[in-house]
Amino acid sequence: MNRLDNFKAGFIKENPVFALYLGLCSVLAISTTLNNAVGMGAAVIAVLVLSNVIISAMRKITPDEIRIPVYIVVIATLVKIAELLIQAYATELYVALGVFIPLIVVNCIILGRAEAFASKNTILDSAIDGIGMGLGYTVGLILISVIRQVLSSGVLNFSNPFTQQMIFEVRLIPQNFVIAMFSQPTGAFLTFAVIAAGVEYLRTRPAKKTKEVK
Amino acid sequence: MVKKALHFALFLAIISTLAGGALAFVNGLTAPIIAENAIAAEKANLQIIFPTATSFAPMEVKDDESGLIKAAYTAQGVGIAYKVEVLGYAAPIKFLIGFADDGKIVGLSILELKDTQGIGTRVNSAEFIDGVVGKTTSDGIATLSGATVTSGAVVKGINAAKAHFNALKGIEGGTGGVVTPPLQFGASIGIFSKNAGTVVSKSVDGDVVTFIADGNGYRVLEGYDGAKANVFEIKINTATKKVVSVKFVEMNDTKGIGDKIDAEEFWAQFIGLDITNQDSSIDVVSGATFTSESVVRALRAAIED
Amino acid sequence: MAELFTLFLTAVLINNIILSRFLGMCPFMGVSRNTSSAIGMGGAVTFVVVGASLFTYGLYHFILVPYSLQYMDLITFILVIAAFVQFTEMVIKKFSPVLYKALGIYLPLITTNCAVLFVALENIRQGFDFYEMIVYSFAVPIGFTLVLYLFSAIRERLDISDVPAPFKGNAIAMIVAAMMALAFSGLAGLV
Repeated sequence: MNRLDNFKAGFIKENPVFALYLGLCSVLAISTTLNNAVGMGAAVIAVLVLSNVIISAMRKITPDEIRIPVYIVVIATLVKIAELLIQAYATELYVALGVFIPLIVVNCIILGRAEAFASKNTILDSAIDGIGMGLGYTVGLILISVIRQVLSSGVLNFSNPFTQQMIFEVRLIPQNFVIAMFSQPTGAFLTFAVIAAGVEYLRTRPAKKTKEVK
Repeated sequence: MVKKALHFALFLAIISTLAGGALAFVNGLTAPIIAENAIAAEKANLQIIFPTATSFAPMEVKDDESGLIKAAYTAQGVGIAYKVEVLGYAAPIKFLIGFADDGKIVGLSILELKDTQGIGTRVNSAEFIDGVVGKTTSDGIATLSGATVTSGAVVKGINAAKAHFNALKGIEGGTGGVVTPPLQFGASIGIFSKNAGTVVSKSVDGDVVTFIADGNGYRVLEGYDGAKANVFEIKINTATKKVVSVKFVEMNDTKGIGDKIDAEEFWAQFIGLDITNQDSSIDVVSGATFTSESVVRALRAAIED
Repeated sequence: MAELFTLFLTAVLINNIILSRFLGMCPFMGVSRNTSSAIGMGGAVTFVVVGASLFTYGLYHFILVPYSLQYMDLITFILVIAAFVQFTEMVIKKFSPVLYKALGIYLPLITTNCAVLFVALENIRQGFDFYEMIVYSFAVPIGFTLVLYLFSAIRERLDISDVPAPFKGNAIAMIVAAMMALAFSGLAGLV
């Protein structure tokens, strides 16, 4: 699979969230506002790319039997560094994401990609894979967050995580028509279900088309 | 075999040490910033509570039996503020309570409150705060009638902070506990001003006649499905023509509101009321007017019997 | 004592780890196809969570704190968990090869089960004392098992129902989870 295909796959065909169902915990819990989604997405992309690169760089010297603990140490270190940096420089994001920052360690996407890809491919390929998967995750996360935020509060806004300055704010649904349920777990599951079904439909539909043509 | 295991262990050890080193480095960079942020978040609130203080420092809280104190800050030379978290009606409530070094409460700042609008949120208004600020750490604080869960939780938290403060400063005498608020009275109504209710039963014992009478209260008058009138026991001395006592038999109005009238100060108004005087009157309990009036209806039924 | 009971009830029902905190989802989707493997999974997770909590709690309070190494918590916790899961795998393999086979790939995956690391971290973040830690680390996986069991019972029937094609499998599972979450959120008034 060439680099571009691999990059694109991270978005739809192998979208980590909607196709592979990885990293669900954080997706459902964090997706309440656009700010959270962007912040978490950025953290995940950073950790994913760096861990892919480091693990790929070490792949020739890492003994096969202890590879999982080694990956875990690398990922955990990166996540902890990310956590400390967020805690220091983007405190509001830190409070909003809470325990889900350290939980990036067990985000199946990161360990999964390390095992499935980075351990067997070059540094550059691994980095690109990381970006692709990370972006796929972030896009999925943003999609759910936007839907949930707009439906549950009517407002879509985004503020700079480092300075807390509001960058834009737009009301899309009048206050009287908001559906508060979408900020609750039920709404999260529902939104995810509908999008997942949509993605599933998109994934299987073209195959049917080609079958008929043949 | 052993060589391999050793090789693995060594590899892991090296990786872990490198990782630990990197972490220690980043930690060193970020720790001071994080510490500063911790105070900065509260600094604005602390400054409001202690306007004369120039510097604040976090204080370690030991021996907090309540588990409600989340943090403490000393305002150098001025006092101590406690950050307390209690469970309100629906969600946690976080607040800062500031004590001056001499034990006076100088400020209450509600940081996080998600309780019912207009009910629980009253703790964040002058109504409640004015009853807190100015008291000492040994005085009791009154809860808000009608918002007992929320205000009770906050008072409990304040008392926990008080207990820690008193222990720290060696102030004896306890924290004053929780005080139920005094009854507030509303308008005055004549005892013959409302339509009479109905007498259910009557028993005579010498000069004292005991009536069980009912009077329509809030729920009946508002037309609630299945609403019943409130039932009272009314004792009248037919010789002196004065009311001996009135009390509830059955309270059928809204729980938490109608039963507000079930207090000494309210019933006391009826004792000694002259039933022959057309101008005899009592004061209703504010916030429970209909239920208060239901008593009057029952009383009139008893008098006219 | 009452507080411990409240802690237990809250962790099992009101802040249920799956339906309220969204943690432990991977096995939720994968193992919940029939009730017996759900119970087995629940049991394994309970064992791992309690064991890992004990070790990480001890590690944190007796080594990391006295030596001011709190920033090493993430690495050490996850390594402890990984080791403990490995140990659990060996135990299960020895005592119940049937269960071992049934759980398959999901057994080592308990390592990356957010729920385990979550409990270990929460024990520290919430400042639990020893007894609270014990209660909490039992309560959370019990809540997990409960929901997993309920879910697998529903899914057994779902598999033989006529579900629209795009929703088959995981999407309909999510809808079921949505309804369960709604039902469980009504329990909030319990405490």
